[in-house]
Amino acid sequence: MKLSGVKISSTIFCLCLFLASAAFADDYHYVNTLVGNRAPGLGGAYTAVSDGPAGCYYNPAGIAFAPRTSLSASANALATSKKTYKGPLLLEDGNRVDWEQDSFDLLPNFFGIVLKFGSGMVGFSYAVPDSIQRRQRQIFHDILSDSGKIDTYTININDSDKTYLFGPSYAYAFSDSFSVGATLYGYYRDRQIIRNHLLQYENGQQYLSNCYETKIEWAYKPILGTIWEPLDKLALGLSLSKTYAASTDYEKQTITNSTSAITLETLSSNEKDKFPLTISLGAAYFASPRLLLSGDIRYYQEISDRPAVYNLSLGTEYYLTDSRALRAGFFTDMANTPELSSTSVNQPEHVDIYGISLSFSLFRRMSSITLGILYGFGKGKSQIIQNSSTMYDVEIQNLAIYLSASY
Amino acid sequence: MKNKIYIYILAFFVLNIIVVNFSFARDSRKRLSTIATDFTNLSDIEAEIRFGRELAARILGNYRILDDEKINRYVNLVGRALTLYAGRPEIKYHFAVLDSDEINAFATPGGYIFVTKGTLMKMDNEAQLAAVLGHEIAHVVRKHVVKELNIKGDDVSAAGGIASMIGGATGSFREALDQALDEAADILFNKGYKVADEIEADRIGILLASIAGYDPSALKQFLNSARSFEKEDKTYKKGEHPIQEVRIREINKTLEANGLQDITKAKAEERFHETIRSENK
Repeated sequence: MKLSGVKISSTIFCLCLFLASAAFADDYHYVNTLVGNRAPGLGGAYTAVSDGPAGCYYNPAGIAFAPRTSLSASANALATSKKTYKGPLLLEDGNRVDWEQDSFDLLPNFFGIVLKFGSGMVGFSYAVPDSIQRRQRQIFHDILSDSGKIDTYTININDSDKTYLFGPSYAYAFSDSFSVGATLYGYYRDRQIIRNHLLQYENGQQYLSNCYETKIEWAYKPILGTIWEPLDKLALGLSLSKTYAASTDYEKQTITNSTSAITLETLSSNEKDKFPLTISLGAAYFASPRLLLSGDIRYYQEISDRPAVYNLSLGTEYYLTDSRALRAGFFTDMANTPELSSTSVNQPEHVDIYGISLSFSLFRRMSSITLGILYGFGKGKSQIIQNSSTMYDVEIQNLAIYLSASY
Repeated sequence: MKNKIYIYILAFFVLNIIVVNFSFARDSRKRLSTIATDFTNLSDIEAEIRFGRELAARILGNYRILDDEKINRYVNLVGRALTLYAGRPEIKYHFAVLDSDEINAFATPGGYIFVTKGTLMKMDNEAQLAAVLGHEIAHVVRKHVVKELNIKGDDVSAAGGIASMIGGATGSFREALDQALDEAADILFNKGYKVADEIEADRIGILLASIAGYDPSALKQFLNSARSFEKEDKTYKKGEHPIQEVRIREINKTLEANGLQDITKAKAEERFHETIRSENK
């Protein structure tokens, strides 16, 4: 990115620091990635289906109905995310310039296996439900600010924020139409934020800011679920989950180097994050061996300053032939932040995201491969300038392409 | 609000537990890709036979073959006569009598068929033996276990190779086979076949026996006898041949639909008693 003739407010330094501390991994939404083989194509509406390894993640009771005695799946996902703040920077001619942040990540985000064990089923799964990998180098030229003209303003961003879940599952079917199951996930989050800001003024003065932030968090996440099929072809699913933090190790170090002085600020904390109780209620209608319709409603309990959130997923699966299937879905990823108020400052952004999904599976004798795409889009409000009540429009676009295999 | 949520959750679980016994068993979850419809590939047949052989070995791990060459030969002769009309020439059938007082018979994929000594002792004639063997042959012909467990040969397709690369799975076939064997044994020894499969096996078994010249009503007669055995014989396992009334009703329909209800054919009572009963005096 290269911009010319930008007039920037006197809060330029605050802008830098604010961006360094707030606008990274998407803590403001709960559905950042849909994992699994079939589930993403169904828009995540999998609570009442769950009869594959991804059931360990969505509703462990479903693995009791896995059609095969042994099955594994993994997915390699390419995920991109683009967040655009509309016009926080003002040009000399009165036009405003957008501020963009991009994330690009390629990783296997799910692996699962389910096996018959005694009269029940056991499973083991690994999932990465949240991942941000952001490497950006942004250069702005000829910026006018209250502190003087800035010849070059360079921002280097190297953010990485990944959450890993891994653990066993067990499910038991009391009958052909009722099962219960549980998953106990270990939770590991590794966050590293590195941001450098270099401002080179026309008068020869320089300002350098280096922010290095790390957070290691261990937690455990039990998931309990049940599936009940009260009528022929109809299944209802319920799953409950909550993450309990075990340990948090947070450190932040900021070095600023201006012409007059070098300062070092450090901050560390062991305060544990709080997570909401999540309740997923799903219904699936197995209309025929060709057609499946499913829907989920997810409720996230209110925690501290985060209001309660409801998300919806709808999906359908249709077999074109006995070896080709199409899936399509719709999902919401509502902001877990309050609506912004014009009388407050430093509020977290509020963007409701709506998404669609599409996948195609090709079945072979002992396996299948699936190619899918997920797209989410949302518009909302943000207060990107620290200590300013001005609200800016913000847009989020998420795109993920995944390739998965199952046996 | 929080308490209400927990109450709702509890209510859902309780409701589930209350109604679980009134729910319906079904196969509605099966997708088109998992419903085996085409097994013409040679590797599938090889897999079926290999699987059946291993399953037969498991049966013989639980039961001993009756040490009576005459009876075993007799059962083989009756069984092989039926297989001439079974329609799967690629399968070589093997019949054996198990030294057990239980009333039961087993068929594994690939044509391994077993009938217990106890079952033979409860039969009145050779036509009933043919009907029971015909029923078991039908399970093989219609691949009930193969379809239920989705037994297939190795996947050598391009898509299968790609899937293997993505998933990094190697050697999963053996593991899958072992798991499938456990499940097949569970079907044979505990759960039993699906009712629809039993009814289909009855229908084909009656027709096979009838084409071979045996009394078409023999299976019905044996099942009616079995109902009385069930009450008096504790070794009879209910799950293995459930809903006898339904089966008999369906047998009547089969006999009627094929014009067999009033036809009397060979029962070979004397030959049967000469072989079976004389050997077990």
